[in-house]
Amino acid sequence: MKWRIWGSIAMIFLLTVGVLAGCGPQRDADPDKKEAGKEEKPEQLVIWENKEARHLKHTERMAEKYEEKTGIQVKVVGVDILKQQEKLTLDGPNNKGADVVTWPHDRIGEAAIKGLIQPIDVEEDRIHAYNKSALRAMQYDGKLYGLPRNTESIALIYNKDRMKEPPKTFEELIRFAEENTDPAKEKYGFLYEGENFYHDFFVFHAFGGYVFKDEGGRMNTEDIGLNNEGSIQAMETIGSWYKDQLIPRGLKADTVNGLFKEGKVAAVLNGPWAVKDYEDAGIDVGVSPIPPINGKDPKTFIGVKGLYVSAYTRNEYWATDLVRFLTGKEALQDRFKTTGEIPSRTDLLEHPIVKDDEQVNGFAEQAASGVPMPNVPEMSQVWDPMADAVSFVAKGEQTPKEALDGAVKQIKEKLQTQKQ
Amino acid sequence: MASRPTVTDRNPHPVPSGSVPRTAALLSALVMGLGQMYNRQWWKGLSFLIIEIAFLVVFFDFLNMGLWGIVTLGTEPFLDHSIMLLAQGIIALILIVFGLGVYGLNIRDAYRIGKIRARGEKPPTIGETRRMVTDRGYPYFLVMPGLILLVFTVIFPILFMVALAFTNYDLYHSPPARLVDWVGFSNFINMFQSELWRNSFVSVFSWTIVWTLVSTTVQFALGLFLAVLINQKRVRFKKFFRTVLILPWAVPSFVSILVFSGLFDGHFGPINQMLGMLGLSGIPWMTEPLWTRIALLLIQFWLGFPFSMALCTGVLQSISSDLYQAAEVDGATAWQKFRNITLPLVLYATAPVLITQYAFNFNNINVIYLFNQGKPAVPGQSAGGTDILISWVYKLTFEVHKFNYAAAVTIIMSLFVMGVSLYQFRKTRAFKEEDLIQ
Repeated sequence: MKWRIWGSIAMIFLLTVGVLAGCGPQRDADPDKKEAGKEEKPEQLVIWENKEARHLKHTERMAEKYEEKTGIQVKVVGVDILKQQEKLTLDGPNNKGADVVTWPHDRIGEAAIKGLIQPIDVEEDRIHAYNKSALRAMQYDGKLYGLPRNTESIALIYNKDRMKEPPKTFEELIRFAEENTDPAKEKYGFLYEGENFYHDFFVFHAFGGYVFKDEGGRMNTEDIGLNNEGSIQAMETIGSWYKDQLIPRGLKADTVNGLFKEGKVAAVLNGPWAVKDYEDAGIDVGVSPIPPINGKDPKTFIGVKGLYVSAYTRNEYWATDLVRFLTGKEALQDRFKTTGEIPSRTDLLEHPIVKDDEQVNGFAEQAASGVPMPNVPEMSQVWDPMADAVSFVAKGEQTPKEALDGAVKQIKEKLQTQKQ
Repeated sequence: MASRPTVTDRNPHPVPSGSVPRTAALLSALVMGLGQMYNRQWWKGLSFLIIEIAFLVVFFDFLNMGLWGIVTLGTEPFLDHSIMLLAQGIIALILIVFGLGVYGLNIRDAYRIGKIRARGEKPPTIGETRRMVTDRGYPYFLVMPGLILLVFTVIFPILFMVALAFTNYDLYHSPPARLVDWVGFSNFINMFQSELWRNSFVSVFSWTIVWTLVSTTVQFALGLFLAVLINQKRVRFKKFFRTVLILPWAVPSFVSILVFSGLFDGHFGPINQMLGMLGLSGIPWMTEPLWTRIALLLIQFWLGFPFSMALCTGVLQSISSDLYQAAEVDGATAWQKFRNITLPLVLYATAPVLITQYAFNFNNINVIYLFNQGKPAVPGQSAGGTDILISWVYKLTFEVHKFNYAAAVTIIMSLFVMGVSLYQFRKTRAFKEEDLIQ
C-alpha cells in the first residue's frame, strides 16, 4: 500500500521533470542581437577602469573630454584590472557589463576563447601610430582584439654609487659582477630573479630560443623552441652565472629587492614598479636598457595593458571609437603625466616628456623593442616548468639539455591535459 | 469491510469505511488538500491547496527553466550560460525536494485522519489542529530558517561541485562562447590516464601520507607532553607558561608561515646565518626536498601543538585525583601512572578531535603552499618535492583550467578522507564499549 503511493509519487515526479525538461524557455526565432543601425549614438557608454585612484582620475578626465567631443556620456566604474574578466562573465549576460574593459594582454587569449571580447576594426593608418610590439600583443589568432595603452618591461636598474656607468655589453656586466661579488660579505655585482622565466626570456631570445612559433600573428603551440640549439646555449650561459656563484640559487624577488635597498647590490633587473621603493630606501637609482648580450639587443618579455570592446556591448561602433580616443595621443600623454606609465604610441615614445627623463627612457627603450608575452592560454603551462629547469641547472642536478628537454616534455604533457 | 457505526454517533458525517484512509491519501496525492476536504477538514484542505497553487505559480518558470537547464545545460552559446543554468537547476531540484516534502506530509496527513475517521472517531477540528501544530511544530518552525540556510550554504555548493565533476567545464568549454556538456564518468577515467598525473601520483601520495601521520602524531604528542608537564603540582607560574605556549596558536598561521619562509631562506635567512655563526654550513632548507620537508614538519609541529596542549590540559584537569592516589598507594611509578591512567583517559576523550586533526593535515594546503609553494621542483615530475595531494591538484587544475578535474579529484579525496575518518570513528566507538568511564 505504502510503497505503491510512493511509487506513484516518484512516477509523477519523473514525468514532471521529463515534461519540464522538454519545455525549456520559449524563444523567438531571432533574439535581440545587435541591430543594424550601429552607428546610432547611444546616450551612455560604460568603461571599467582599474580600481586605483590615479587610473580613475585620468580616465574620468578623459571621459569628460569625450563627452564634450561626441555628446556621449561615459560612465567610469572602478573594477580591479585582474577581476574584470570574471566580472564580465557574470555581468555581461545580464546587461550589467561594460562596453569597454581592460586587462593585461596575456589574458586576451582566454577572453577571446570564452567570447568575452570581440575583434575590432581600426583604420590601417591609425594602427601605425602604435608601437609594433605593443600592437602585436593585442593580436590573438591573427585578429586585433584591442588597442594598447601602456607597455611594461624590465630593464637594468643600477645603484649609481656602486656603478658609475651602465656597461656597454652584457658580457661586460658579468665581468663587473665577477669583480664585485663576494657572497661572504653579502656584496653582489649583479642580481636578478633567475629562477623565473619572465626574467630569463631575453637570454633565450638572444641565442635563438623562442616559446611558441609566431606564424603571422598566430602562435603555433605545437612548435616549442625552448630546447633548441639556441635555448641550450642560453641555459648554459645562465647556468654559468650560478656556477661562478655570481647569483645565489633559490634567489627570490623579495631578497633581490631587499639587498638592493640595503645598497649591497650594484645592479638588478626589475620593472618600473620597483623604482619608487628603491628610491624611498635612499638609493640613487639609474635605469638603462639591458646591454646587448651575445651581440644582440636583448628583447625582454613585455606586458601591455590594452582596452577591449566587450562582446556584450550594444554599441560596438561607439565603444570602438572610445577605445580609439582613450589610446590617442592626447589621452596617453595625460595618462603618462597622471600615472607615470609608459605609453605604447611611437609619437609619445619619441616625445621629450619621455626622452628627457633618464629613468623613464631606460624602461621605454627596453619596452619598445620587447617581445610580448604570448597571449595564448597555453602560455600558463610554460612558466613553472621553465623556472624549474633553471633551478635544476643552477643546482647542478641536470645539464642544460636535460633540464630543457624535461621542461618541454612537461609543457607538452600539460598542454595535452589542458586540451583533453 | 468495517461495520457502519451506530446512528447515535455524534459524528454528523456518517461516511467511515475501511477504504477511507486510502481514498483520502489518493485524493491528496492527486491535488494537495483534496483528501483533507474529503475528510471534511475544509480549512486545512484549503491551506494545502493554496500552498500548492502558490508554489506552482511562483516557481513554475524557475523550475521549468532550471530543470530544462540542468538536463541540457543550454542549447545556444551566448544566450545560455551553462554554469548559471546548472546552478539554477540544482536550486530547482532543492525546491522540488522541499515541495515533495510538504506534498508527502499532506498525503500522510490525509491517510492518518482517514484512519481516525474509519475508526469512527471525529477528526480534529481546525482549532485543535492549530493547537497541535503550534505545540508540536514549534521547534521545527524555529529550526526552519537555519535549515534552509544550511541547505543553501552547505548542501548546494557540494551538489554543485559534484555536478561539475561530471561535465566538461574547462577553458575550452567556458561560457558564454561555449556550452558545457555532461560527460559522465569520463573525467575520472581521463584524469588517471593522463601522463601528467600518473608520473607524480605515487610520490605525492606517499609524501601526503607521511606528512599527515608524522605532523599530526608529533604535534599531538608534543601538546600532551607539555600539558602533562604544566599540570605537575611542582610547576610554578602555570598561567604564564600556559599563555606563552598558547601564543603560536593566537598568531594567524598565515602570518607565521610567511615569516618562517623568510627565516628558513637558504642564503639570507636568520636560521642559516646563526648556523654559520656556530661554524656550521648552512642547510638548503628551501632547495632540497628532504630539508624542505623537515622544515615543514617543524613548522607544523610549532603551529599545531598549542591546540593539542589546550585540549589535553582540559582533559587532564578533569581526571579525578583519586585514581592517582590509589595508584600511589599501590606503588606505581610516574611512568606507570602516565601509561595506565593519563594516556588512556586522554586518548579516550580526544580521539574524535585527533581524527579530525589527521583529516585536517591531510588537506593542509596553507602551510605547504605559503611556505614554499610545494617546491623545490623535482626533475621529471609535475609536482614539487613537498606538494601534498591537495596543493598539487590545486596547482594543476588552475594552471590547466580544468575545473571538471578539480571537482573530480575533490570528490575522490573527500571519499578517501571520509572513509578513513569513518573507519576510525567506528573504532573509537568500540573503544567506548570497554566501559572506561562511567
